[in-house]
Formats: sequence, structure tokens, C-alpha cells
Amino acid sequence: MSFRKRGEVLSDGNAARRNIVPGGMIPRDMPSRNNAQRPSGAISRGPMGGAAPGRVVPNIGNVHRDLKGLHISGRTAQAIPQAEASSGFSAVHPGIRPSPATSQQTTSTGCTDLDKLMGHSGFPLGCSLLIEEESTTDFNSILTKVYASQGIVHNRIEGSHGFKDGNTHLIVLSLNHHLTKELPGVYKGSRKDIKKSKIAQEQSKVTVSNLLESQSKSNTSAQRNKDLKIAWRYGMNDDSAKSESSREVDQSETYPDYNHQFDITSTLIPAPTSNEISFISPLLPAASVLSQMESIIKRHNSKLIRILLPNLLHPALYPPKMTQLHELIPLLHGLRSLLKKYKERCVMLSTISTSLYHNQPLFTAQIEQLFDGVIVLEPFGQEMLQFLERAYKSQPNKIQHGLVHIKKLPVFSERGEMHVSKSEWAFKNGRKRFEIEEWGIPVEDEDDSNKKNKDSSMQKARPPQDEHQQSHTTNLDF
Amino acid sequence: MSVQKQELQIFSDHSVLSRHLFTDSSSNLVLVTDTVATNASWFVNALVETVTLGGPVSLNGNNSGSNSGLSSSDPVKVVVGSFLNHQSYFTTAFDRLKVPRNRYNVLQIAEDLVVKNVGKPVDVVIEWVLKQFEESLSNSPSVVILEKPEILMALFKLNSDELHLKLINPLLKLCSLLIVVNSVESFDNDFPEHLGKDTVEFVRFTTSCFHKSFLVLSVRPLDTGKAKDVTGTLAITRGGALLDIPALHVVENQYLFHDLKENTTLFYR
Repeated sequence: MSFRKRGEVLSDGNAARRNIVPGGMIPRDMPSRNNAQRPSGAISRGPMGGAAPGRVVPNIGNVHRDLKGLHISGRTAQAIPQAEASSGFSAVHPGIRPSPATSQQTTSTGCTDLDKLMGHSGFPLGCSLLIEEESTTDFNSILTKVYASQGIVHNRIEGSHGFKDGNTHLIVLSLNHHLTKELPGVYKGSRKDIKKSKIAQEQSKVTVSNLLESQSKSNTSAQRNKDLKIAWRYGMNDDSAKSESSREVDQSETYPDYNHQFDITSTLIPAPTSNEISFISPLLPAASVLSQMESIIKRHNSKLIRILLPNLLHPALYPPKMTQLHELIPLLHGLRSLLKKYKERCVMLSTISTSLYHNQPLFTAQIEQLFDGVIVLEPFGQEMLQFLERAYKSQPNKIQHGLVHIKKLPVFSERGEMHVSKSEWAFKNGRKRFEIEEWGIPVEDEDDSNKKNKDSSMQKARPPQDEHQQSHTTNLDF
Repeated sequence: MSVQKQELQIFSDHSVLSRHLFTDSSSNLVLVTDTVATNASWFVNALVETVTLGGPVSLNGNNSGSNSGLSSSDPVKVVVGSFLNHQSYFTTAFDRLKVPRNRYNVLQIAEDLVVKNVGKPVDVVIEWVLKQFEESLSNSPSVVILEKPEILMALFKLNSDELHLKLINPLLKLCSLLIVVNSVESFDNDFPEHLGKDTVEFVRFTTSCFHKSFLVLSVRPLDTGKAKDVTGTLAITRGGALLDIPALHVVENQYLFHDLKENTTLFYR
């Protein structure tokens, strides 16, 4: 066992190079398993293949920044063009990171909790996910909207440049073109935060009043330093007390634009343009839909493609003939083929309401077979919601809206692992988040309070004389 | 407490795939059934290993001592055709298992199956599929693995009888052993008559396969639900057909298996 002084340099430049996987991979984010045997550059595992050899970790900017500290930045600079040259798809994508479980490249669904639920902290590229919803509610539309918004936001990360070229393209198989106007915008914080940011913006402007204020502030800086010194002594300024774990912080620092939080009450402004989103009618013949989609994928050959198939078989959108297997399966099979063909840069999300098909298990089984992951939303009934409202009377934010069941997960289920879980997770939809958390039936301690209330009300209603009589006499019935 | 691992044995000569299956010119059908919860990919890989490497070496953490009945030098070729998964799905898995590339052939059937063939007469499509198998099969004994053929029924509006007559039967004649991998998801439910023609045909296809096969290998999740240390059960049962090989029969058995991070372990039931 060797000991090292705190100030000692960790290793020489060569050692640092040894730790860097060619292609710019950061070793600390790689899963520890089989790292030694894995060929350099190829980070795919499992039958799906996943990432192309030579791919580099997205967000190379941060990697570059980190590596500069180790004085090996020249190496990454060489690695990036090589990776880009190998495929048309740009490896430096802010919305892609390796899966902690399989090291496959993943992108975010737009919902952080759904990303976690899938076990990859995201959506493995080349995979498809089907979200089924029981009953007639429409929670799945939130997930489709944040999925779409996330793609658009990724596309705009590079500023106004994103409108022209961009890094992500969204293909929607729907006739509902109004979807572009319904996409939620990025959550900018609470009202207080928004006010604070506005004040900060105002203060940053060079005006006479701001200059005067800054002068007065400089006078109070000495007092401020004194306060800080006291705070430091009492540990009030200690950052380690934050609730977030160091790993999560590290991940969010490494991939700051991987996922975003969306406010479903707001709208994404400006609305997506035709360069960012394409619509294809799912009512066209399957061959026509597939050829159109492939031409779009080829046209945007340097972009991440997010395919969205919302409200599959919705009676208002699809004609009755589509509910026949020989009409629907060719479309889904063709989409799956395209997804696997361009697996380095395509993902697909679809939603379906199964309430119309609950008595046709084989029909839904055939559809599920063509998706890599299947997740079911089961909203609570009215009675259950009332019970939760009673149980969480003082904490209305904790009321869940339904259960989440997992039928299969991308990559894991293909290997043969079983990931079926029923009633283990619950979801709740809020203004700023679609949350998925572990489900537990809340304890309702209202019975005791009800009893007390009833007793007290009885006592109040009953005159004191009667009470006296009741306690000393017995009523005889003949 | 350590749990004793069990070696995979299917036939009465303590083998996974007996060499007697490939000695004469007879053709036999094996049915492998799986569900959405438990994919049989690990088991298909184990069968391919048995044919090509001489045993299911990847089972039980690369410590399997199962006797395959076949030596790796036996010239038995494996041809895989899937209507669901692409070629790379299998080649990646086989490469990881270090299966020699000259011992197997994965056909590109699922790739562009719809784009290339939609609108064509179903006979033309099946002829195209059979031709691909014929070209990759030689006169030597061979194993054909056909994954999810029932998708053809949904794609081309075939019924069960047509699929058997046009694809399964001709393919059975081409090889020594045909392994059909079929999904039986939702087959546990009762099927009233009003469920529709599609459902009836799917059930009929699988039932026909049960009757035609001499061996049925069923990969299912636990009936009791999810468990941390057990993924599901592998049941080995005899099918409706008789195995026309004297002194060899299927040993019916049930295993527990645990599949985690690409490692599968078998246990005593």
C-alpha cells in the first residue's frame, strides 16, 4: 500500500494518456465491468451493438477542458476529427452520453425520471420505447411533448446556429401539426427565481443608477467579508452539505446539456421550424411512410434523429382498418428496421392507449414485440385519488396520479434479463416535472381523528342530563 | 449459502444436442418458446455454441461441463434467419461468444423485409426467404434457427396452415434440425371465439408447432413473479412428434435460470 502526499502530482503525462480511451472517453464515466477486456474505441456491448467504433463521448468541450488540466489536450483535438470522419453523424452532441450500465450511447427522453427508470440514464440509441396507457387519461402526451421538446432544445444549444444546421431532427408520425405550438418550454425556475434573474439582468446593464449602486456596494464589501468569515467558522458556507451526491453533480457538470426540465404550462418559443421537425402522415401506405422517413434521415445525415409516433391507433386519428394486424405490423416492422439500420443516431418513442384493446392481449403482444422497451402507465381511479388526497391532506404535492409498470427495458430484456415490475413505481404530473418515484401506499391516520371528532360531536349534541341517565339506567325492550 | 449449479442435459445420452440427430437423413423440429419478460436469446446462443463449439460453454459462468454429444470438429453448420432481429444482433452475440465465423451464417431477412416485399404476393416473398436458406445450406448436416416466423402472418395476412405449408415444411426438408423460436406472450389467457381471426391463427400456428416438434423448450418467467436470484424457468418437454432414433429420447426436466449481465446460470428446480 502506498501513500501519497496531498500536494503530490498524481501521475506523469503518459499515465494520464493511458487512462484516456482513444476517442476521448472519460474513464471515470465508464462502467468498471470488463473495462480491461474491452477493445479500445469500441464501447458497445451486448447484442444490440450500440455505438459505432471510434465514437467519442459527447460534450467534448468539457472533456477538452478537463484534459487541458492534464496537459494532454493535443490528443483529444486529434481524436475528434477522426471520429467525425468515420461517420456523417457528429460525435460531439450535447445530448448524448454513455449508459452507466452498458456504456452504450444514450440520449435523454426529456424526463429525467423516465431516463433513470430505463436503467441507462437515458434512451439507448437504436432503441424504441412504447408507452402504453390504460384508461382514457392522457398522461402519455406529456411524455411525448417533453421528448419532442428535448430534441428541439438539443438542436438549439448551439445558439442561433442551431436553426440553420443543428444537431437533432425530430420526425413525427402524426397529422397533428399543432404539436409544434404545444411543445413545453424549458423550466426557468420559480417565480422568485425568474424575478431574481430579471433583476440581475437589469443590474448588469450599464446605467447611471447601477453604477451608483455598485459604488455603494463596494463600501459594504468590508462588512460582507467579515460576515463570510463568521459564516465559515460556523460551517454555514459549507457546500458539502448539499443534498446532491457528488457523482450526480459530476455527471451534470460533464453533460450539462444532456437533459432539461420542462414547464408544461409554458410554450417553446420560437416554435420549431421545418428544419427542426418533419411530419409524416401515418395513414399513407407503409412503404411510402418508410421511404419518406428514410429520405429525411438521409437528408439530416449529421443529426441525431428522434422519431415520435404519438397516440398510435387513436380512433380520432387512425381509420378502423389500421387496427388490423396486417395493416399495422408492416408499418411498425418497417420503422424498427429503419431504427436498427441507423442505430448510431436514431431513437423512437411511441404511445398507445390500450383501453380499446385490453380484451385483445395477443394484438398488443404483437405490437410490444416490435419495441425494445415497453412501459405502462396505469392512472389511479377516482376512489384511489380521493384516498390519496385524504392521506396527503397537508402535502398535496405528494399525491401520485397513477402506477408505472415495466414490461421490458431496452437492451437488458433482449439479453434475456427479466425486468418486469408491476406496481413498484408511481408517477405524478406537475407543472415543472413528470416524476416517477417508488410506490408505497400512504398511511391514512384519519381514522383516529375521525373517531375523536365523532365522539366530540356526539358529546356536544347530547345534553348532560341524558348522559347521566344513560350511564346509570338500562333501557329495557319488551 | 451457495447453490449448486446444474449442467444442461436434454437427451437421454446426457447430451444437449445428440450426434444421432445428424447421422441419418431425417429432419426434426424443435420448438423454443419465450415471452416478452424472458427472451430466449441466451438459450439460442447456448444451442449455437453446442453445435459449433462442442458445448454450451457460456452457461454457468463459462464453467459448463455439459456434454454436447457433438464435437467441435463435426461439420454441422448453423444457419440463422430471423424475422425480427437484424444480422448484427446475432453476429455481435456470436462474436462475443467466440463462435468461429465459418461455422454459422446469419441471413439478412428482417432488414428491409417490409420495404422490399410489401405489396408482393406472399408466395414470392416466401420463395425469396427459402432461396436464401437454400443458398447457405450445403449437403452436410445443418441446424436452422428460425426466429419469430409468426410475424409473417401479421405482415402478409397469412394463416397458420399457409405458413406451415409454404415455409416450415419446406425448410424442415432442407435441414437436419429446425429450431423454431416463437413467442407465446399472452397465450395463458382464455381465448373466447369472439377474439377474432388473427388471434385464432396465432394460437393455431403455435399449437401446430407443438404437435410437429419432438422437443419443446419453454423459457418462461417465474409464476410467482419477480425474484432477485432467479429469472425464470427452462422447461424441457416432449412434443407431439416422435423421435425416430432408437435408444434416444428427450429427458423431461425443469431448470431454474438466472440471467444477469450476459451471464446465465442454471440451477436445480
